[in-house]
Amino acid sequence: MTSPASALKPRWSLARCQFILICAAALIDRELKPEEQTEVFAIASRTPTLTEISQEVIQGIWDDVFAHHQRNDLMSLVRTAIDDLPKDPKLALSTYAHAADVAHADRRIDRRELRFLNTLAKDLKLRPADRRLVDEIMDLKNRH
Amino acid sequence: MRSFAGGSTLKFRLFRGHPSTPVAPPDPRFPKECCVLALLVAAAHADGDVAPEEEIEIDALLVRARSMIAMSPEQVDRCVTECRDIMRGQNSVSSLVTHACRQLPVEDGLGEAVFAHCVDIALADRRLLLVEREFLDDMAEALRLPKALTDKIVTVMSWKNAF
Repeated sequence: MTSPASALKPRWSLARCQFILICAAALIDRELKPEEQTEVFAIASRTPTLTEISQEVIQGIWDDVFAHHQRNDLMSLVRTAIDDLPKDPKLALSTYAHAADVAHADRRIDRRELRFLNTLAKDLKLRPADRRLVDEIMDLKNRH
Repeated sequence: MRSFAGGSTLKFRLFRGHPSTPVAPPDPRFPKECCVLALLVAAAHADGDVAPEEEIEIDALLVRARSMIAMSPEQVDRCVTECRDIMRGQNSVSSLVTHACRQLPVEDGLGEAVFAHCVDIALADRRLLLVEREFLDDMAEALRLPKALTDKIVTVMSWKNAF
């Protein structure tokens, strides 16, 4: 049952939720690789959902995610972003694919990244076959 | 007959490594990294209009893609100039794709990875025009990639670029 307090809590925008999850994919292995950071900012500059918000807001979201990462509290932000992301299967697939692309950008997936992608796939309710296909293609794409 | 950016129509069919096709002599102007960049540039030009999103993705790949990360700014400039010369000389993007696919070394997964990057670039503006679809089909054929695999790549990149 939703508490009155949480019912009043403003939901985050689609763009904020999506960008938090993409940033988290770059930071979750505790080591921000240049390849991952480059991909995050390329996504922010070219993805239709994210180009609708200003560079200042994008930078603010990144700073917020980074601060949570430094406090070892990234997953609380991730959980809120997943909860507030509109429940649309196509949006879920797109968000997961962006995150997987960022996670694969340095050509390896460590156990933290794998755990994060598992959480994302489960909580975004991706079909296992779709998730496997995304992982397979992102691995192939980032090999060279 | 296909029409690509530049206005001309050219029959575009090549078979990389096909037994009946003579092996192209190595072109020193087109080392591996330049072949990869040339195909990305061709993908961005496939619909005749390079969208800002496509440029951003190519810039990002120059920084992060293993096949191009070692390129200096001078090498990038030189390669882009060679690409422009080929496109201008033959008046088509297809001539650039033909040349780059012939020169691309046969390495494990390289053709597949480059194709996936090209699909990502073509879909960066969220739409895949018929001319882009034809460009990708021809590139897949030139790189001898199985249709089942290229269909999967296009599917996943469409999902990714939907939002």
